[in-house]
Amino acid sequence: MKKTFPFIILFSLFFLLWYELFNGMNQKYSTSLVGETIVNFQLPNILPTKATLSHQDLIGQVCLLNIWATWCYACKVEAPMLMEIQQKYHIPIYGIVYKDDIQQVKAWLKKYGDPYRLLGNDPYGSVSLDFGIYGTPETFIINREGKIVYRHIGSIDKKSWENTLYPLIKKL
Amino acid sequence: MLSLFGILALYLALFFALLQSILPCWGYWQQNPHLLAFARPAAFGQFIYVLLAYFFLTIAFVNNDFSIIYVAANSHPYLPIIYRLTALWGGHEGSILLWVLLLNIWTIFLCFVAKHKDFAKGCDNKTLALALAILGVISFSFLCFLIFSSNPFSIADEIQKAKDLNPLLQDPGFIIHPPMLYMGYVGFSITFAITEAALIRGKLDAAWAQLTRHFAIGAWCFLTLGITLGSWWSYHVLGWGGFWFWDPVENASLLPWLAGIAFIHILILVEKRSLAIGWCSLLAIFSFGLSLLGTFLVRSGILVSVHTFANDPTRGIFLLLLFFILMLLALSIYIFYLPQATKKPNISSWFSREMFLLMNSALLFIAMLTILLGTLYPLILDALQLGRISVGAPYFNLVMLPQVVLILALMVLASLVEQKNRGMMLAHLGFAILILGVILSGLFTQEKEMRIKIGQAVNIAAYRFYFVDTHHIQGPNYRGIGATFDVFKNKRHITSMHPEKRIYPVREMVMSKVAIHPSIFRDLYLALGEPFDAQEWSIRLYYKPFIRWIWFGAFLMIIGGVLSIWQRTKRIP
Repeated sequence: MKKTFPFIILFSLFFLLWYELFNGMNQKYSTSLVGETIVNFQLPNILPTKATLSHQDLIGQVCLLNIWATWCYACKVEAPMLMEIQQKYHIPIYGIVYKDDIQQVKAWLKKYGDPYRLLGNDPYGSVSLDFGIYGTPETFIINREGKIVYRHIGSIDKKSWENTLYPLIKKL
Repeated sequence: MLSLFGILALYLALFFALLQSILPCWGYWQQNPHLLAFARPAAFGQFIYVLLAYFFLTIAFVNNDFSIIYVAANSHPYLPIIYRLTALWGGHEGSILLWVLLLNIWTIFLCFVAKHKDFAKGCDNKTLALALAILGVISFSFLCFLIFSSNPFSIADEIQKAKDLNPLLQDPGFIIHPPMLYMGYVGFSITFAITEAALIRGKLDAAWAQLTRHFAIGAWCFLTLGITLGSWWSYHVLGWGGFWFWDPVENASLLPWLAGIAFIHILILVEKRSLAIGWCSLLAIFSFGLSLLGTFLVRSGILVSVHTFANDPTRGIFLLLLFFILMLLALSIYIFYLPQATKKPNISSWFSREMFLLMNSALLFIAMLTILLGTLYPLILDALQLGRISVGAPYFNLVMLPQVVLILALMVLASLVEQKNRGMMLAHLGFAILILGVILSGLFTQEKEMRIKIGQAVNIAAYRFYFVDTHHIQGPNYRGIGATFDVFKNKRHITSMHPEKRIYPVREMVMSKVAIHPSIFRDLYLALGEPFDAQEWSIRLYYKPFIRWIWFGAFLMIIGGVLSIWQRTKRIP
């Protein structure tokens, strides 16, 4: 038993990574949610504008839904780009904070700026999971009918915005 | 032309790697000393051709040979010459070539060291030939990977536009960070090869432990230097004042580092008392395996990470298979050849040197597993379809703190019973200073994010920053705006700081060049944010006490490592 133990570990590690290498990649390029209507949800809004953020807020316009967290380093990198999108391109951005502390979120918004129209608080990550997020940050492009048009994994940078996301939004 | 020469050199290197891996094994099987003797010349042959390939690629970068895809993707005519030389490892293909070159340098070094009279006992001709064969297998696999899936010499079908080196990588810290990190990763392949060869020959004795420990400390010093430089790079390039982000790529380098320390400490035990030989050889396998795993995690892009500069799914398959097969072979050799009648650890007392060394390696190993778990946890959950999460700094800070405290406590206790050499003391002191730096800078950092107009001033800690003006700047491959801030303490002018905002037109990337005013007890750290108009800017301002202690401690650890190699070599006449 003692002798087989390292092999069991090695095999399980191998199969795990092998499985993820293929499935993880597939999810990156073809998420099953693209083309579907967003799930129904309702979350408390952190910003003072309104009490809640729900799926109905997203419908009727082309918008971005950005799922992020203050403890996520890539989100810091992304923050200035979101500000630029909101200020220069005037595209409404809705946010969901994933498993986070409200005080920290407020401090963050003071520090990095607040590009969000509404910002839902998802302390248990349940709504974010319905969106099938792989990690933070992720951003969804949602059209007027409330369908997910595109899903972006990782932080949005200038290149991905100008080459992929913005051209898609312009067509909608 | 260069491309043709380069590919030819790679194929010849591949041929020699094949000779280096097959002939000694056959010779060992047949008890034929002539075949065994092939190992060294084959290793030299391989080294020369890998060096040539590297040289050709360097020439291609210096001459801006944009017919080669890799050069066009990572360089530009306006790129300063020093960055053109280092752009060679700015992308995936080049960094694998660098990996192979460093492996060859280590191998040649082993050839010389094994001939040295002080070490000849630890690595006789047969052991050396077997070790070279194992290194040959590793090198052969990576050369195949290089030639068949990541060829840096591929020629473009059409005229290429030069894309420039990623501006984030155009930094002095980055010039030596990857080579040092790889030197560390690859160095563990030497200890791995010697250990496996010694296992096969049944010679896991004190002489083996002594030789292996020197290589292990050497590799570990390089790894420490690489990690330290990486941390320094993210501190002064990324502009967030952070030095460690618990990013998967950073964790990947920490895993072999921790396993390496455990390995080095257990080697002392083997050398002095012939204890824990099995555990020791297992650690040799782990430290190399984790280096491979790290390479896989970084290069496959399986973990979403801001550090992933190069990734490609098909490449992941190769690296994963390589990791799996090498580890499978290594573990099989370990199980098959490990002497059955190893001595049971006969520890004289609980408060003894041996006990502390064992406990230390166990703690370090647990720390390594904790980080491994945190890094792979999102993948495990995803595979079991339990949802997708990312594990960030809160987890790592929470679980690592008590472990670090335990390790520190053990270090202090051990210093009571141990007669340490100077190098070891210095390394331990360095670790304590590093941890002190991490804790103090974490507790007392002050930061401000604000708008400021020219002519206004802002206070942080005891310092007053006065925004003097902005001016246009023009670099070789960028342009931008520089700002001038005068810094006062108690109305005394201390310094002027010049943060910049640069635009690299080729990649259309905007970068903040941070201004840092360093001193022993604190750093002042100033980064330009966005302009609101010609007069008003947002800035990020940090007061970071004791932050330098982190890197100072790390350098003490490295010096301690070097010292303990040097001292040991001197003591054995």
